[in-house]
Amino acid sequence: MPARPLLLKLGATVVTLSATIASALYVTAHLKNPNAPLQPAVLNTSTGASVDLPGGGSLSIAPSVQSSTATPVASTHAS
Amino acid sequence: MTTDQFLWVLARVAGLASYASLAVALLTGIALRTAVLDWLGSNRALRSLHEYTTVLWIPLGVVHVGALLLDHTARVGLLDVLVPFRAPYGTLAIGLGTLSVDLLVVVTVTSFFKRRIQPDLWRWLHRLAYIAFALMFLHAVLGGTDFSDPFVSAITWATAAALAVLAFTRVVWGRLPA
Repeated sequence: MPARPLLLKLGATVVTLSATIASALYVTAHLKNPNAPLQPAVLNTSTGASVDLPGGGSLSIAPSVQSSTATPVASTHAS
Repeated sequence: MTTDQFLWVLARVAGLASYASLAVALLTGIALRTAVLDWLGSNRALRSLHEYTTVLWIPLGVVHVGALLLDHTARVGLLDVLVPFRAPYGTLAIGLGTLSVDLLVVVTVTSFFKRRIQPDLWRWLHRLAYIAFALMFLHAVLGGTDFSDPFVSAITWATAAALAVLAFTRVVWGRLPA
């Protein structure tokens, strides 16, 4: 194989590897980004369930953790 | 670091790196029809380099998509990778990435069958790479986690702008003098 094409391919490989290493260093240093445009929901809200009891009355079961409008103090996702 | 976090990091790294390697692929492709890289080598050497770039960007693209498929937080399904605008969140941003992948598959597969396809048809199919890169750029800008960072954003926009200028000069003035 002629030297010039080989050198060009080597150069392109070095550019790609450098971009990969630089990206890895950057991403690991910035594991979480609160300004990320895509924020997949991690909690499914549930309204709970209601069961009729044999002796009359009913039992309602709902999740004890509810979503709120309070300012979050910790991130629940990595993005 | 949890498995999901590792997959998320892997997807981001592969996404950034595949953007860079695809930019190299597009640059070498444009170089064949302009004279901007003539100082690097003969047209045959540049063609060989352009063909070689698939070895660089395809694995990175596969890792990017594969990591997102396995990441439970990202919740990207197999169908979302093939059919655009299906994702339950970030529908436009993720859909543009899917569309870009679809076009790149067409460009890459038809490249392998170049000898069996009419030259004019093949040329037009291969020009879809420009659209695919533009869609990938929009996908990155609209959905990329790291593209809100000024440093990453500056490199991304500069790369896209340089390629756009080269493509524009190619369309307007044809092959440039060396």
